[in-house]
Amino acid sequence: MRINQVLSIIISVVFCSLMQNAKACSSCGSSATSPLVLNPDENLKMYFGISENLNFMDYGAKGADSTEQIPNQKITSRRTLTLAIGYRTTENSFVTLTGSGVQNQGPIDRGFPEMGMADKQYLMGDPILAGRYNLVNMDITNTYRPQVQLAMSYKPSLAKNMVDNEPSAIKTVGNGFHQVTAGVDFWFGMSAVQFGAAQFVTYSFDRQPNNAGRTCCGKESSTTTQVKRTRDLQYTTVLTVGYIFKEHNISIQSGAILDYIGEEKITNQNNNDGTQSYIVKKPAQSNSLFANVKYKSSDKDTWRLSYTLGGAYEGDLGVFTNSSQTTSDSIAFSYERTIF
Amino acid sequence: MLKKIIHLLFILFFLKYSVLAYAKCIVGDDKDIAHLVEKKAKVKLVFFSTWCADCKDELEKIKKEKSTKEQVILINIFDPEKKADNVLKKFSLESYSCFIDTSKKIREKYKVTTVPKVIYINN
Repeated sequence: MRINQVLSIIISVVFCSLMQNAKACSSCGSSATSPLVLNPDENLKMYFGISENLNFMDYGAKGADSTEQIPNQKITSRRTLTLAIGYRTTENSFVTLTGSGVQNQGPIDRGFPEMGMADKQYLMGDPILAGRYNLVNMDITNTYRPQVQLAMSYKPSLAKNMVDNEPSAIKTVGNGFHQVTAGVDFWFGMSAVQFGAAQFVTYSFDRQPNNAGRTCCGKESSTTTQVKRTRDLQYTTVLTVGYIFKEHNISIQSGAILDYIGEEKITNQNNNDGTQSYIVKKPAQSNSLFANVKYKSSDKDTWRLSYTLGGAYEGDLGVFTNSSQTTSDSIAFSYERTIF
Repeated sequence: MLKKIIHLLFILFFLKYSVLAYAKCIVGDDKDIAHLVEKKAKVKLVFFSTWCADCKDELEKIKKEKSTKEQVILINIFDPEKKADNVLKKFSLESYSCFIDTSKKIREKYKVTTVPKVIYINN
C-alpha cells in the first residue's frame, strides 16, 4: 500500500475522532403516520387516540378503470381506538408499541338503503412495533440543521384480513401481510416555520394462505385454493409544513402523504388437477392531505386534532394519479401523556 | 508532496470547524450548583438543551438582560455530548457560569424533567 494511501486513512480516522460527534436525541419528525414519538427529554410516554374514517371510495372497483372512483359498497364508517406506549432505549433512540381496536359499519345492501345497516363488526387491528434512531439532532446554534431520524417498524398480520378470510371490507381490517418498514425522516423544526419530509419503504413477506381461491374480482372460488400471495414494495412519502404559536403552546401542521403500493399477485391452484393460475392486482396509488392542530396544555400533556382527506386530488396527476385503492377521510382526536 | 499539503490543509480545516470553542461549560453536579447558589442572594437557574427550540428564546432573553449576569447559572441537560460551548458562543454568553449535567444529579435535585426550565432561588 502506498504511503499516501496510508496517510489518507490515518487522516480520515483522525478527522472522524476530532469531528464533533453528531450524536443526537430522538425527537418527533413528520409524525403524520406515526402516532407516538418521544422528545429527547421523554423516557416513557403513552398515547390514546380515537378516530373515525368516513367517505370510503374505491378506485377501479368491479372492473372499472383503475382511476374511476365509486363509493365502497360494503363499509361506510370505521371507528378506531388506538393505544400506544413509547419507551426510550438510549439517548438517541426509542421504541413504541401500538395497538388498535376497530368498529366497522356498513349497509346490508347499498343498492337498497331501506334495508338498513348491517351489524357492527368489532375487530382488533394489527399491532405495530416501531423504533426511531437519531442520526442528527437539531441545534439552536444552526436554525437550518435538520433532525435526521432513521425509522423502522414491524407489523405482524394478526388482524382479520382479506387474505385469510372472506373478502369483505366490513368484516376485515388488516391487509394480510407481515410487513417491515424502514425509512428516513428529515425535520427542520428549529424556527417558527417548520417543514420536513420522510420516505419509507415497506416490504411485505410472502403469504401462503391455503384457503379458498380468489376470482379476478376478489370473490371466493370453490374450485381453487389460494396458495400464495405476494406484494411488491410499498413507498410512502410524507411532506409536512407547520407553524408554532409559541405564546399559545399551539402548533399547526399540514401536508401530504403519497402512498404507492406495488403489484400484488395471487396464485390459485386448481383443486382437481393442481394447475396454477395467477391474478395480478395493479399497483395502487393513494394521495392524502392532512392537517392537525397540537396543543400542549402542560409540559407533560399534549392534545391533537387531525383531519385527513383521503384520495385527494382527483384527476390526472401523472404517476401520482390515485388508482386501484380504497380511500377514506378521517378525523382523529388524541391525547399524549409523558409519564417521565 | 502536493497531496500531503492538501491532506494537512484538510486536517486544519476540520480542526477549525469541528471544535468551535474552548470548553466554557464545565461538567458539574448538584454540589457545584449548591456551592454557587449559597454565595448569591438571588439566583436564576436556566436549564437548556441544544436541540430545544424554546430554549433559544430563553437564552436570547438572558443575553438582553446583561445586568443580571452574576445571578444566572446555565445548566445544560439532555445533551450527551459537549455542545453547550457552541451555544454560549452563539448567544455571547461565554462569561456566564455554565454546567453540563452529565451525572443527571442537578436535574434530579431540582426535579427538572423538561426544557426549557427556569428556577428562581432567593437566599
